[in-house]
Amino acid sequence: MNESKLFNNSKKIRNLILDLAFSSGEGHIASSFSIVEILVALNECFKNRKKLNFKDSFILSKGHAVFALYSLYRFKNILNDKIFQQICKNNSKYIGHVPTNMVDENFIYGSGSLGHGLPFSVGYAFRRNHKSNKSKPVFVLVGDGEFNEGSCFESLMLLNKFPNISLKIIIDCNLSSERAIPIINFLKNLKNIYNLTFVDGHNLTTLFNVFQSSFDSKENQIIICNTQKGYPLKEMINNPIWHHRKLTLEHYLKFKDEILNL
Amino acid sequence: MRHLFTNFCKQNLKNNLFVLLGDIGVGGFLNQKDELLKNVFNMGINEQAMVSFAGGLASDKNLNIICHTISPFLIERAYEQIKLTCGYNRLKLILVSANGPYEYEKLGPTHHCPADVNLLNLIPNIDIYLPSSADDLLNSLKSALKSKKSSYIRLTNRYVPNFDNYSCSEKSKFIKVIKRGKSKNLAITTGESLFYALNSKYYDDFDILNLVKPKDKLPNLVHNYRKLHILEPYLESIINIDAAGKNIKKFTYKKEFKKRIKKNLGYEDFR
Repeated sequence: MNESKLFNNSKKIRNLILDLAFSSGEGHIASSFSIVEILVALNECFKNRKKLNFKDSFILSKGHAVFALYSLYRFKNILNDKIFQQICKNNSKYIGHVPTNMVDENFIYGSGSLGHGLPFSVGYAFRRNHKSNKSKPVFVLVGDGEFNEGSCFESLMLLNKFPNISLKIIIDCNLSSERAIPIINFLKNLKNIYNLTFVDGHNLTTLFNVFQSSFDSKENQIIICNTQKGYPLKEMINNPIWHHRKLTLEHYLKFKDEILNL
Repeated sequence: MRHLFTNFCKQNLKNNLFVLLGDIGVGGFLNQKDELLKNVFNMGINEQAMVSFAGGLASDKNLNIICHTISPFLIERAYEQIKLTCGYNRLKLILVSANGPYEYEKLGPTHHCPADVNLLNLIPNIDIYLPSSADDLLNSLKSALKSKKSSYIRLTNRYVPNFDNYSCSEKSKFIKVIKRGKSKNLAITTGESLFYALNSKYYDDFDILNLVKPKDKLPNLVHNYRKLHILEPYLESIINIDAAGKNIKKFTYKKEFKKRIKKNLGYEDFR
């Protein structure tokens, strides 16, 4: 793993997110920024794995962070530039949440409303793994605020019923919804029931190592990634105003400059 | 309209009003110390629990409880809770959705709710208000506070501030007639369809009858018109009219209303 290369990849992806947000007038930029390192590190783990690929193994349950996924796919050329330019434009089916599999097979599940991607992932992981001796991990990325939804806890109960289906739940823990329902301590106590790991959500090396080590075991896992919403932009970090704010030209140029100088 | 709604709530908090927010609109309810005002709770992203919790609060008949979040989550996700709390247990709630059916258009169908009015119409004990103007909204909120029944009020960003620029007569607080044309044509609107009718050249010479409560009985004057266009900004029509001998066309989101206003990307486009 080349950390410097992955760091540069993260910068490129953040640039793409900004480009997309500015050209479309849409996007949950701060939420997208908080998961960039997670996506970059996880994607790197799939290189050199012949029978597994990222897009068949990853579900974004936190659907409003889709600009990060679109940008990763653009970077990998899974989405071509023509499609990328159409995102969130008039009548485009590439919307501000994850498109459905019928729109584009590169997306397993069309999430957007919170609390749906995770239970879907339990079934998806079961389908992939219940007859197989080898692990074909399914990674699902969930927001910590998303765990307000009861369906997330219903999913965790299902994991007790289906213990070895190689489902890896990545929680993007940016604490943005602690103002509403404090959930983080509740999530931390899940370590008493599930295989639970804590990791710095913006440290590419530790993320890579944690994800890499999760591949070979069929045991379900919860990986809590401590992140910052809007990272690393100073004006955006943990600032609720930026949850779903349109980019002005002034902000676009300022943020691009800030990314460039990282 | 969300601004007007927030101001109204803040003025009435001392009158036994509780406001439960689904983690939206929070900023409007903060005091100078950045704390939520008394009787305002940010319930987070758990609509089903929010509605049931509201029901528990509403068991005190002296209280008014407002639940407020984005329409599909409030109505569709918590539908069973609304059915049981408001319809079956007859507890009074005021459900206020943050948006019209397609106002989050580019965010896709998970954030659209063209069926809100139709779904709630199936549950007894709920009055439905689709305000078309700022005054309509205030009247709807006041009415909802006084009523013994539950209410659903749909906010929209497509509304008129007032009717001052129009030759308008008031048949009742929630029914207005706008005189515009010399022809014998009438458009019946509710909610955001008033905004579209007023801004559409096609309806330039139509009079407009606007209903805030689409389940209200239509006044007799509708029978004076030769042609009736009924514009309902939800999936299926619920406005009742005696159809005998009249040229009536109904436009709902299922039938041509989307074409008439502009195309909104919806659930059916993803088939």
